[in-house]
Amino acid sequence: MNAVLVSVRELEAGYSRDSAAIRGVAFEVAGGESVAVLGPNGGGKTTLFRALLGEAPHQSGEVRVEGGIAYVPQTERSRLDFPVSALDVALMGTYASLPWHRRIGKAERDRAREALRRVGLSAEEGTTFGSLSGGQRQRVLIARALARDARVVLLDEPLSGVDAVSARLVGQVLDELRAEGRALLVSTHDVAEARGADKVLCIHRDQIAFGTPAEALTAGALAKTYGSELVLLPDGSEAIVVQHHSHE
Amino acid sequence: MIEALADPFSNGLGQRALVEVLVLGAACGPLGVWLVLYRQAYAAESIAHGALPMVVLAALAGVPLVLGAAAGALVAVTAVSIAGRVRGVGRDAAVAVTVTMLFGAGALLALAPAAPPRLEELLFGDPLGVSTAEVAVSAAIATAVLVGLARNHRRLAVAAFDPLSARSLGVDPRSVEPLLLALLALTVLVALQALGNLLVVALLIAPGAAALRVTARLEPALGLAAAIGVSSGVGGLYLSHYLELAAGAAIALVALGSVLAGSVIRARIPAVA
Amino acid sequence: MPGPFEFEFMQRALLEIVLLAPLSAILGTQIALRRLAFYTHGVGTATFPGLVVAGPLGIPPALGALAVAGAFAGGLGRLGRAARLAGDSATALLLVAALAIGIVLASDVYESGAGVDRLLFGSLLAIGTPELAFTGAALVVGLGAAALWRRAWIAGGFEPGTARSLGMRQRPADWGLLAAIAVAVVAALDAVGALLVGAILVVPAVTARIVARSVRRMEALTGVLALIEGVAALWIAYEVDAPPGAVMAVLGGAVFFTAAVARRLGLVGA
Repeated sequence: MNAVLVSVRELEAGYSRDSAAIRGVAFEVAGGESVAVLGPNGGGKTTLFRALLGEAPHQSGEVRVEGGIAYVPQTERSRLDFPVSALDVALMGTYASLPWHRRIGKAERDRAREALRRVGLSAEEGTTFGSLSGGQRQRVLIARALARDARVVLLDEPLSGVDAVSARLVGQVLDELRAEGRALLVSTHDVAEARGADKVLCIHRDQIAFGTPAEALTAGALAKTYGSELVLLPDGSEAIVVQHHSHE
Repeated sequence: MIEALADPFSNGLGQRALVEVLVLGAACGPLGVWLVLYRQAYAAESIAHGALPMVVLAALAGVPLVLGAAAGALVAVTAVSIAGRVRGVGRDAAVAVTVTMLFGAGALLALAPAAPPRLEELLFGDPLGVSTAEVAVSAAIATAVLVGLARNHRRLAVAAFDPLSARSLGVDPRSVEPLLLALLALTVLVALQALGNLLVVALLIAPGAAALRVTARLEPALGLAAAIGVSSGVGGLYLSHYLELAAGAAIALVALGSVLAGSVIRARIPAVA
Repeated sequence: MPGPFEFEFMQRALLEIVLLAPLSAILGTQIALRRLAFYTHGVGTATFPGLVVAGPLGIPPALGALAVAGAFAGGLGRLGRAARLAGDSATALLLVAALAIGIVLASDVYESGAGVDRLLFGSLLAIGTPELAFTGAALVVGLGAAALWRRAWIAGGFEPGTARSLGMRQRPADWGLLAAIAVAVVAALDAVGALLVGAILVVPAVTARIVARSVRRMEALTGVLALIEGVAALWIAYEVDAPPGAVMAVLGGAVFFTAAVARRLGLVGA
């Protein structure tokens, strides 16, 4: 059994005390484990990540992260007009371990290049970030997290709007990271994607379920997570419409 | 030919002006790249405007203008941040109110019968009027600005590119904007003497905007912007000398011309992008 | 001893303020809500070279200013697109270009430097019948544009990202707003000067924003504030022999900060 790298207790977070976006969140992630964070858009997945990063404007409860944390944002949120190449972005992953007075040297460059190679973008290292495809940009941001060399990696919907080649490469890299003993938290609103993870955290303002896919992805939990949205059940291809239950 | 090149700088006035614009261009150019990337052009424009009343007071009291400008920039930054905290008032509106008010106050002071008739110099600047001491102060401040930019280079880059991830990369994104405004205020101090209240923004924004037209890499853009800033200053002095234009306006026009040139270069040689 | 408003030039200035106040109500509200303050300041500053050349060329100053204001608004969209500059950088560059050209023209070509203060900060004596007629026409344009597009403006104000796309949107309502603001800015020039058009077109609306809870109330309060501050500024400007635009800018700023403090103390507002 690997050591616990992320431990969260009684977490409440949001923009202010009056309007917490998430509450009652408690879970643990060990090294080598991947956790799918499942919930609808606006259900609090991004707020949870911001709280793990210590970035939520308001948060209470306990959050413990061991061995550094890397974050891979959705590529639509990064600036396409910024004058950087793929290599420049990957190099940003080395900044945290580099004192300001030291210039970026061969060691850092090698680390960034190796990260780009792992996501299949060695040939694109000189290309401007904004002119890469959406899937390639996503992989560059993953390379930056690889260069960061953190034990915990957060990925915000890494497969949404990504081409098939990129999706396959991203999946491969995530498997490698898991094999290296890192803890992965991957947010998604796709139930099928969540089924592939070691554990699933269902979240819709409140924490609805946490456990193995079989434990967490029950019809009841999905109904609570998605309200009245159309849901694909994990045990078959049957589509149902669940009536909305008010949580207010 | 050499005589024609050397002629504008044959006397002390011209030599001091030359050093002043070299120092100024070298600091304004790289800072401008960040101002453009952080979309702080309005702040650049308004800190210069907002400093006017204190600058006029300094002129009235006979103390060095740079002291007035320092106090003025401090007042402007403070007033903008106070107004911006009023609920329902956005940063844009807060800047508009405080700057209009401070600029109006400056104009009232400057146009008062007791004031020396120097308003136009304060508004439009005069690099040919700087003293040796003023040049020395400019050089010291410009050096401080460049050191500040170099020292915080990675922090500025990470927070501008992707503020959400900044903390996970070891950067506190909230520390970046105050830092940029502080460096801006320092630069405005220097630039006010040469370019005056109204034209500072030309040298602050144009070289950065032009450099970002020509290159899609950060470090080359910073170097290029410094080069464009310096050449705008020197080119403006030549233009002013030979066409007998106001020096501040001439420098501003050359700097602005560099943006057009940058766009043309980009259109002709798409490969540089 | 005659009061200030017994003089004909003061009566004309008063009428000018009465015509500008409703313009401020309609357009100032949109400027505050849509984050167009920098654009407004930019148009105002950009008219400077138009004003400088109008005299020697023998064309009405308002026409010169309007031509440059139109070129500014059009050029902003083009520069933003062509140079892929963010709206604020494009505004700053065009604004300072206009100023620099104006300075060169004023001091070196036409030798009319003496009038620069008046062009930049306004004058009580600058308002004649043609200026009043232009302001009246600007009011008609503003009211017409509001009748056509006011709802679209308010709806657009909710849309995030509008500020960034400032002026670069093709939608007719947005262009109509930018054009109406440009016309209003030119109308306000004579009273408050090229550098301080914000004193009448922006500051009252931002002040109203502190207390008003609906767009309609904000418009009404903006109009009232613009009228009171404008008339008070005329009176003070007359008494102390100062440019009215500068007085109104200081007065408006003082009212803003007073309202902000009052609101903080719970004396006004929701």
